[in-house]
Amino acid sequence: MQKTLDRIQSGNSGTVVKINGDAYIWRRYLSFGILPGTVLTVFSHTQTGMIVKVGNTKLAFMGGSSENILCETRDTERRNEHDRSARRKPELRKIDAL
Amino acid sequence: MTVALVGNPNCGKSTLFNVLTGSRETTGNRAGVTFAVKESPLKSEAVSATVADLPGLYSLTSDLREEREAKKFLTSGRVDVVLNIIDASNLERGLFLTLQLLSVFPRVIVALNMMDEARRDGTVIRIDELSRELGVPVVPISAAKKEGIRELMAAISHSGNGKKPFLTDETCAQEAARIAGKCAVYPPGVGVATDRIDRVLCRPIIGIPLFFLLLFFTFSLAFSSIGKGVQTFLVSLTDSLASLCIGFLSSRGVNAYLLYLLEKGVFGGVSAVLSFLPQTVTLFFLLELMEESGYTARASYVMDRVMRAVGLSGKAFVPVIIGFGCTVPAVMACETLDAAEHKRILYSLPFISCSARFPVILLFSSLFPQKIAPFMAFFLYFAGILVFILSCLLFSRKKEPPPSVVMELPRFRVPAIRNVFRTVSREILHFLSRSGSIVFLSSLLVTALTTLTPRLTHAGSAEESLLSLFGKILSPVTVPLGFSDYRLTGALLSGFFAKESIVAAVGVLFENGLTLPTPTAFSFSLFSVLYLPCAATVSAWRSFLTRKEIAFGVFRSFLIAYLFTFAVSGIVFLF
Repeated sequence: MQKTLDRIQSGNSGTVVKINGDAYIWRRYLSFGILPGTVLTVFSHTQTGMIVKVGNTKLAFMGGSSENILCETRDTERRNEHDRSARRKPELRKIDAL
Repeated sequence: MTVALVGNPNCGKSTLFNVLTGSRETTGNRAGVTFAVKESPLKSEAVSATVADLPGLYSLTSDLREEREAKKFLTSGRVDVVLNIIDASNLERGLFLTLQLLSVFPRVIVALNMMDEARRDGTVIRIDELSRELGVPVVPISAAKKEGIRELMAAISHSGNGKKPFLTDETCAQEAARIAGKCAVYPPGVGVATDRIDRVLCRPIIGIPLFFLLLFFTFSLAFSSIGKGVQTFLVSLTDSLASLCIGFLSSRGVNAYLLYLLEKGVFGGVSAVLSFLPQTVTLFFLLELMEESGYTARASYVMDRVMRAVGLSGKAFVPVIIGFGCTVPAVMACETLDAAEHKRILYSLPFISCSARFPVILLFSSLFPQKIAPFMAFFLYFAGILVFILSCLLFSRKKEPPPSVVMELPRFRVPAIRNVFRTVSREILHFLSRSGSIVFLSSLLVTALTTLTPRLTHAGSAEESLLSLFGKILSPVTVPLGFSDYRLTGALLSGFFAKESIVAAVGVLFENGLTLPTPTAFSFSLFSVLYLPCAATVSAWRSFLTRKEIAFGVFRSFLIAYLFTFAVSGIVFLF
């Protein structure tokens, strides 16, 4: 299941599939070791942004910068997403399905 | 021979630079501490070389503003040997830059720094294997503990030639991952302590109040009996020194007017500033602890939302924290920010209360009852932050939104006491040298202005003095703020050269001690901490702003400070 990095829940991982944006953004992420194939683990989400682990590096994403990264999430993430979806109100589930 | 220290931000380049050259450059546990190239001769009898400390670099191909200085130096043709520093706890990311460097420079040496920490974590790095893979010498070191420095010096003098073929960015990343996987074994659980602290500190609900609590703690310490005790000791020491000096010079028949200038101007003014040394040291110490531990980067992260509300990114909070120490390096640190944020932060930074304003704050808050003095000091300090926010908000909202930012959060470290003391002692020396130069001259000038008439003859009374004349010219401006005493406006004039000069001028002008009615003390202290950027800050602005923009910035600062003081004083006096 593919989703942008900002939508991955804390404690879950995702493998980078695509980096949206121009060459500047692409190189910026690359220099932090983020490129297609890299596994990112979400450490925490706050109102400020999110903290992500790339290997032994901890990166803080602020101001929507995590929306540029598209990741493939693993089954656990999909299951968590499913559990959350199941707990949602029926009308909201319809919106999810759309 | 020029040896360039190249590596990712926060891998210990400046610490190694200090060890190799005996310098005392600023170090810190966050990216972007070094923002300009620094050069110094290598401290070695065997090798004659100049070492250049470059700002941190993630990659040779990225086009980040903060990396331009380093790239400019690397492409200047002056670099003979590249000493690539890699953080041993993060081999893969460090190797990405190493592989790029190897394809451009023929003489590269790799220094694997922070090996002491890596060993403590249980990390195993096969140095020989790594050296074979890269085809260059790899020296394990710990710059903070001065381990492996002799071996590194030997490697510099015997480094060979040989460039590697050029690799694309993707190939570099894949190759770095392959080599790191082959040569290093990281045990599970590395950085668990940092994770635990981050889970608490990186929540804005905890992080933001904690930051202000730390500031308040500093003020409580500054007003503690220990701080007061050292202050009394320093005052009596300078008084004894003054009477000794004056006695000696008067026995030698030195002119009475010169003796007066020396006693009132030099000793009176400078000792007033020096008496606040213990409190200023406390502030430097706390700021340095925050920097060395890795808290500064976290503070930037938790403050991002607040900063965005005023049109800045969280990264801009780093210059704000530096600004609590001194506005000049804070202005220079703006180099690492997006150009869209520049004017907004540059015009607003001078409102943050720097350490030079610390003596001013302490002096005026001591006019209030002992019990509320720390709160008053905190209010004056906090007013700086409040006006900083106000100044940022006054910028048009139509301008570009703050950029989205990715920032590295370093591992928490127990601050290295040696580094903390080195930085604090450097700051103290800087404080003392300012007291001995700018404050010295400005208090001499203030004394001269109080003793000379507009015709440059000796003034019979203070009312006839030049300072009184200037004060009378300026008083219509300051009357709405609640003070018209020419001595106070005179003190404000001297504050433009250096903020602590206000304290020196007050020491000179109020011979029988400073006593002001509470409303006057409140409005004057508020205005004096906010009113103008100092001369050094204006000079630092020249790197970013045109003359017209600088003139506008100075006028803007004055106007905002004036209106804020007028409004707040008005509200306070109403109640």
